[in-house]
Amino acid sequence: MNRILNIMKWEFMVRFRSKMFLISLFMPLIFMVFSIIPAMLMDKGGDSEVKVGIVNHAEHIASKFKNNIGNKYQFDDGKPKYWIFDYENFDEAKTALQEKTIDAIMVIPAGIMDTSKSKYFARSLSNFKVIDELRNTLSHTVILQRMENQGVAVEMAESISKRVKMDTFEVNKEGKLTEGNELMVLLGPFFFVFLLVMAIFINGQLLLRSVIEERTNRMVEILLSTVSARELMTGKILGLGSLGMVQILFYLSIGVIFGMVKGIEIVRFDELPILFIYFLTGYFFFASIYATLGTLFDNEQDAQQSMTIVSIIAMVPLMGSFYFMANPTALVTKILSFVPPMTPFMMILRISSDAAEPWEIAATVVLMIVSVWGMMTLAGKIFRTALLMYGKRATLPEIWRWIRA
Amino acid sequence: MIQLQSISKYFEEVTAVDHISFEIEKGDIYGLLGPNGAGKTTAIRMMMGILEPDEGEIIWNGHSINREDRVNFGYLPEERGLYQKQKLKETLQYLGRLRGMSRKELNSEIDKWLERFDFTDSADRKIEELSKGNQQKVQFILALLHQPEFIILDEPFTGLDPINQVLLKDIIQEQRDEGVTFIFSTHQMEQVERLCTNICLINKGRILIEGPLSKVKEKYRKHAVTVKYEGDLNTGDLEHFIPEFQLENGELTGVLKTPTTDFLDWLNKQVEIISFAHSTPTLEQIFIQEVCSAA
Repeated sequence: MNRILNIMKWEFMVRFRSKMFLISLFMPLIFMVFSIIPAMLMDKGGDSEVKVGIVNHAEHIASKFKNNIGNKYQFDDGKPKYWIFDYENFDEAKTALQEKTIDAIMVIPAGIMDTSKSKYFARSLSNFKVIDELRNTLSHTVILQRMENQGVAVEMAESISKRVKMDTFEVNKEGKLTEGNELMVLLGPFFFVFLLVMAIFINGQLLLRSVIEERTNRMVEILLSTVSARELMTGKILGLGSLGMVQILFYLSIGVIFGMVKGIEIVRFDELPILFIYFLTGYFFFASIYATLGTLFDNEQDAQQSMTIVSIIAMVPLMGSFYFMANPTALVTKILSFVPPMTPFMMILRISSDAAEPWEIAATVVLMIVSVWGMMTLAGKIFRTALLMYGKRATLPEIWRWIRA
Repeated sequence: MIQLQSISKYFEEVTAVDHISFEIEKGDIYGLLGPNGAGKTTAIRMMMGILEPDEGEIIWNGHSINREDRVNFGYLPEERGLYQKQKLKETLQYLGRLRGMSRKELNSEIDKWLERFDFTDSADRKIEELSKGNQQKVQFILALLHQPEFIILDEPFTGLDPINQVLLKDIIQEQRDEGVTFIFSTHQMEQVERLCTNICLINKGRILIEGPLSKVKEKYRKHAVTVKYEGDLNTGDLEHFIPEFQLENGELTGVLKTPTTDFLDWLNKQVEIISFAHSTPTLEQIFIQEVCSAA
C-alpha cells in the first residue's frame, strides 16, 4: 500500500510540475472559450452600429420602416443601432457596400405589399441577429401598412400585430424556477461531459507516455525489482487520477464562477457526489486501457492509432450530447447508457438534464464498478507480461494467452 | 545465502535458462559469466523477481524467496536509463522511499553517496544534464542506496573512465568487507579475476563451469601452454589441439584439449621448440575455450 502511495505521489508531482501540465490545463479552457464565445456573441448580437443602405421601390414602406427600426433598436445611451441610407439604384448601393461605407443593403420591391418579398445583401451573412431584427421590423412594417390600407386605425393595428413574447424558465426537482435561455441550460451537462472527456484524454495520454517512458529508459527493471507490476500500474493510475481531479476541480471552480457571473446554476451541488462516482469509474476504466496500451507499444507514434479508436468511443457521447440531452428518454440514449465505455458520459448528460431514473443510476453505478474491476484485472494481466517485452509487437493471440494465464 | 535450485525459464520455444543451480555465500563476489544471449540477464531477472522461474526454486536464507526479501536487494541492470527530466536527488529519494527507507535515513545516505561520488553540487540538476558516465554512477548509487544485503551488478564498469572504475571497485570491496554479497556479471574478464572469488560460466542457458575461481584456474593450469618456437607452423592442424590460440612473435599460447604429449609429438615435427611451459590460463582463455568447444 505504501509503495502504491509512493508511486502515486511521484507520478503526481512529476506531471504536476511539468510545463506540459500547465499547457494541458489551459488548452481545454481555450478550446471551450473559442467554441462558446461565438455562440454567445451571436446570441447577444453585435454591440456596434450597423449602416444599412435601402434601395426602395415602395414609397411608404421605407420611411415607416426607418421610423420603426429607429424606435425599436437603440443602445443604452439612446443612440440608434441602425443607420439607414437611401440609394437610388442597387449598383450604387453595391459599390458602397464593397467600399464598406455601409454594412448591408435592403432592397424593398414595389410589390412588397402583395408579394411579401424583399432582398438583403451583406458582405457576410453570419450576423443572424442583425438579419433577424431587420426582417422582423420590415415584416411588422408591411403588416401594419396592410392593416392601415384596410382601414384599421394605427393604434389598433399596433395592438393587433403585437407579437407574443415568451420567457423561458427551468424547473428543478425542488420546484425552484431559474430563468435562463436554452443555450445556457444545455451548457451545464455539456460542460461536465467535456470535463470528463478532457480528464480522460489528457491523463490517459500522460499515463501512456509515462509507461512507455519507463519501458524505454528501463527504469521499469529497477521498479519491478521493488514493486509488483500490479502495484506499479495501480500507483500510476491513481497518481494521474489525482492529477485529473485537480484539473477537474480547477475547471469546476471556473464553471461555478462563470455561472455565478451569468446568474445560472452550472453545478448542482447535490448532484456532485454521484457525478464524481461517474467521473472516477469512467476515468479508471479508460486509464487501465491506456496503461495497457503503453506496454504494447515501444513509442507514442505506434500507439497513436489504437489511442484514436479509444478516443472515438469516448467522443461519441460528447459529439451527440445535444441530441442525447434533447431526447434523454429516447431508446438509443437509454441503450448507450448501459454500454460501459459510454455509461459515465451518458449518465452525466442525463443526470444533469434531470432525465435519469433512480434505478438507472443505481444499475449503471454497479455496472461501472464491475466493469472497472474487470478491466483492471484484464489490464493487470497484460501489463505484467508485456511490460518487459521489447522490440517485438505483441499479437492478439499472445495477448489472449496472457489474459487466460 | 541465496541458492538457485535447478531453475528454468522458457520463452515460447526458446529455453533461456536450463536447470541452473548454484549457491552464493554471504560476503562473496560471485561472477556470472557467459557470452551474449547466454541467459545471464534472464537468470538475474528471476533472482530479482522481475520474472518468475517456470521450474525450480530460489532459496533465500533457508526459505523460498518472496517480495519482502527482495526489498533488501540492489540491482544495476545492464540496460540503463533514468528519468531524464527529473532531478538527481529527487530520483534517489523516490526509489529510496519505494524501498521503505525512512526520510532521515534516506537523506543521510543520499548525502553520503553524493559526496563520495562528487555529486554534491549536482544534487538539484536534472539527470539529462549529467554526462553518460555520471548517469551510470547515479544508477550505481541507486543499487546500494538502501543498504541492501545482496546486490546484482550487470556490467557496472562499461563506459566509466579508469578513475571511476577504481572508485567503483573500491566501493564494491568495502561493501563486501561489511558483509554485502554481490553478483557481478560482465564480459570484462580481468575485472572478474580482480574481484570475484567464485564464478559461474553459462552458455545457452546451461552451466559450463562453476566454482571457486582459484580451483577453476588450477584445473585448467595443466592445459594452458606457452610455447616459444622457430619455424613455420601449420595453423590448420593446430586447431585440432588448441581450438582457440594466440600466435605472436614466435610465441604460441592457448588451452590444450588433447594430452600434452600428443601435442608435443606433433609440434616437434613441425617446428623447433625453444621453450615449453604450462601457464596459469587467464579467465579470458578459459572462457573462449569453453564457450567455443561447447558450441
